[in-house]
Amino acid sequence: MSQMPSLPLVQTKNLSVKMGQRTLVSGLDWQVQSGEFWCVLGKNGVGKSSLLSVLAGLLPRSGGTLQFTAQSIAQSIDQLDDLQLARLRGLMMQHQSDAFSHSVADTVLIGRTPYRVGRSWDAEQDIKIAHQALARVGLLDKLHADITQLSGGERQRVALAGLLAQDPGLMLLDEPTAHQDVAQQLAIMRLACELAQTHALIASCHDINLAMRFATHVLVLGEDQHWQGRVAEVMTAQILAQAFGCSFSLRGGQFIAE
Amino acid sequence: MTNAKPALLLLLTVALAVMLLSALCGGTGCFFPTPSDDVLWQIRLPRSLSAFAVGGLLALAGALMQLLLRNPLADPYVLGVSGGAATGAMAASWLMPAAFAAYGMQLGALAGALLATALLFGLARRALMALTPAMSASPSGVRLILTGVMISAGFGALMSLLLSLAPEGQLRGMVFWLMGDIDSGPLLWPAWLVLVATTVWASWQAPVLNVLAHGDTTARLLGVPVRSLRARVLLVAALATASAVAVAGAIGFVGLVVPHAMRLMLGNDQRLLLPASVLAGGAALTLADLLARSIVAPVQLPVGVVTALVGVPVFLWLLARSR
Repeated sequence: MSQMPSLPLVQTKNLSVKMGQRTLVSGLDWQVQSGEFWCVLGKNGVGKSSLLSVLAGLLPRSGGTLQFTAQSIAQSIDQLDDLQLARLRGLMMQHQSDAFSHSVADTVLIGRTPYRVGRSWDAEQDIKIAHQALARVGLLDKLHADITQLSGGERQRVALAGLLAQDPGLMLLDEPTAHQDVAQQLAIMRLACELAQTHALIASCHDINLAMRFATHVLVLGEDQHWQGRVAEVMTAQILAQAFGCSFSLRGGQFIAE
Repeated sequence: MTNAKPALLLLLTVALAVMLLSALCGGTGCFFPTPSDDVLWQIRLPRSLSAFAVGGLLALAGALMQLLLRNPLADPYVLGVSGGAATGAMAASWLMPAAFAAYGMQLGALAGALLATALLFGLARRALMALTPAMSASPSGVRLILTGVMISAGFGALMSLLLSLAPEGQLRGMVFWLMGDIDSGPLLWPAWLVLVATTVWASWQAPVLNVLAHGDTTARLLGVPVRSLRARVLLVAALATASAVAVAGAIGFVGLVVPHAMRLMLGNDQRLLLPASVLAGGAALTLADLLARSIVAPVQLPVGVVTALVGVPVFLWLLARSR
């Protein structure tokens, strides 16, 4: 299948997102291509997670259009069935709610669900993919551990491995570096960069400097406006100050909030 | 999943051994059967088959409810199905005493259980269809449970009303039924039919149910039609519960303890857990029924008393072990 540059993987026109009566995002015209790593920045409660949920099809949008490119045809999210969507986009959630004990291996293997329709038992191929995914997040040694016994950071990396096993073209990451120590934050951002070679990535980020260092593009959400584009163009002290409501200065290549 | 076949074969062997023991033994001791033995063919074997079907249905319903409510301590009665069944049985035994003596309570129980299920679907439709919001961790099961608890409470009040108005002569039979009493009556073969059908359905759906066990949102993201799946799980669990309660009254603890114990022993893979729960539940209730009719023979205890006496300490032990 040839890559058509004219058709972005995901495209929104005049998209708006509401939470109850409150409008979080409005008038968003946005195109994300494979090979791009977008960080969504903004204050708490500005709508970063809600926007990701809308893109994932978990929350309804309140206006505008949202299209995915499937088989070289741009299709509205409303026309895609559950299974098609599961192969096009995946979301790593900010929190995992585990009611039952499961092994790490089984939890990652669940990510292969969209590809195992009608089969009862696990294919060797899927098990191999799940193990490779765990190796990429550095948790292959926890294969047989119980997910309810993991630390918060490890549990999130298991969720990331599940997303890798699902392998959708568009990967949505809700705060992927939350709960992680400094070394793991770097490891995850590096992995995200690597993934962005072949996928489109959209992550909500809290750490402005990590975003600046690793992302290719940013979408900055403000109270009633937003800015988007390449990192170098959008991440200026002026725009960040407008979005976050405090002033920033650039020292040694890092933004310091003041 | 390499241990699935050995585990299921072992459980099947245990279940068959228990069935054999239960068919050959009783209050008058054990004996080897002759081909034309009335006690064996007319009384003990049908009764053992009844006990197995009821135990299997309750354990399957319990395992499904625990999955649906994402709560490992849920049981088949938590949504009020047993309350409806008990009320139906009381009403039937009081309102049509003599004419349908053989079937009255069982048919009444079935009607009551189905009524409770219909009520639950009607009242909890929104709770059942409401998916856990993407960003919150709270399970949507809470509203469903609360609705079920209220249905239970309503039927409980109706049942007390019927018991207090019922004539003296029928009180003993009604109370005995409430404690759970296996009767190999006309509903034996329908109950087996439901057992086979629900077990086949559950085993067939087990891979998708495994995805649901990881949460509504995860299942939706992976392309599982969560709303319709939840409705079907609830319907199957309610049908299994209604059938079990119609045959044997509200026998407690089998539906709670058996799936929970199976989960601790075999893990949470539904492909193994659901059929294993059916076999273990059937075997457990058959054994409990054997105890109930032989410990203090010739007096027969209600089997619900035996399952409660064994189930309460076992459950408390399991609870203390879990975090």
